[in-house]
Amino acid sequence: MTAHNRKTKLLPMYVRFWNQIKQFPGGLATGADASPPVSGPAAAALVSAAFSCFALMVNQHLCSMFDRWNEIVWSMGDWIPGSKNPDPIHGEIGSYSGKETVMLISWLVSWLVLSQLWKRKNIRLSTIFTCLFMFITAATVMNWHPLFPYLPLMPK
Amino acid sequence: MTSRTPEPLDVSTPRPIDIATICVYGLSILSAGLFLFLPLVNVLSPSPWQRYMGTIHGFAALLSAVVVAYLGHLAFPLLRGVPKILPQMRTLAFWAALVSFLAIASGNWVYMRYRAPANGARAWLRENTPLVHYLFMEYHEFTVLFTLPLGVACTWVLWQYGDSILEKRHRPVLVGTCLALMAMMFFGMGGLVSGLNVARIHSL
Repeated sequence: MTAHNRKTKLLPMYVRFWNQIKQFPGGLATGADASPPVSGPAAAALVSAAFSCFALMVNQHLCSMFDRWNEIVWSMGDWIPGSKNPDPIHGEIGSYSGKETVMLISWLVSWLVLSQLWKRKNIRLSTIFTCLFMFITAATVMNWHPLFPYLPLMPK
Repeated sequence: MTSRTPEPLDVSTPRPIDIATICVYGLSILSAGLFLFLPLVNVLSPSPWQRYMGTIHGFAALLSAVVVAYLGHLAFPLLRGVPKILPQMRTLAFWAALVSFLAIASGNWVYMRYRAPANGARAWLRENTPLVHYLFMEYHEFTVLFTLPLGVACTWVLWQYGDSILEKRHRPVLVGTCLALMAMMFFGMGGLVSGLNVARIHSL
């Protein structure tokens, strides 16, 4: 019995259980066989994720302003269960399903485009940071954009 | 002159340090378990929808917030370049993204009843206390979605770059990933807080 095995066997059961959980699934824990030599692929993954948050909120404002666009977006979300449901008791998701779909499409398409553009490029830290910060901050602030029908705000 | 031989040490008696260790671990497990049972109060709600929908979404949301917060805290040692946390981070990022998806999926299901024409919470909130809807619910329903792409991106980057993410040439990748992890934690915690705030004003 090696020293490491002896030490592992001495650990309490819950510690050994937790250590196993932290390493599961094993294929993920070990990481990929070869890592990209440049930062481009990582930048594409991170920036596209932040961009999809921004795109979701831009689309939300367009939906708030234009009823016709809201209907189109809603129809894009038909594939999500519960998007449309005539039952007044259980209700329906409504155009929110389409907004989720728009976010999903903008995320995957922007990831595909950026990963092609940046797959052999080294993207600087300032570029990654600026994109992440701007998209995430703008997306957060746009939750309370003045275009929303705020009034009357106070409880009756 | 007689000499007394020392009595053999009783090895079956646990040392105080062992008892203390068991107590520390036991209390931490009990505390975590107690916290995770926070959504169980939903089963006592007078609303039938809150009893089952609220409980299921509550458990999914709380589990998601806990895992995402645990992952977010690992961004600190990652930023300092501690290599031994990397395997754990790669798996945890995956689980965080997965439980975030489950929280979002159960949230979609609950959102249906929230918007229901028959005594739905949304109409009542907009009529009686619009700030709860416009300030908390609007924030809740959109920002919780942010956790999924951020979680998937972090999982992919941590797996794809492996241990080389700590190398100097990949410093931009490391910093960007830490920022995304923190943003994910921010939106995960914000989602839990805003969702709880809405639920305590009006049940489903």
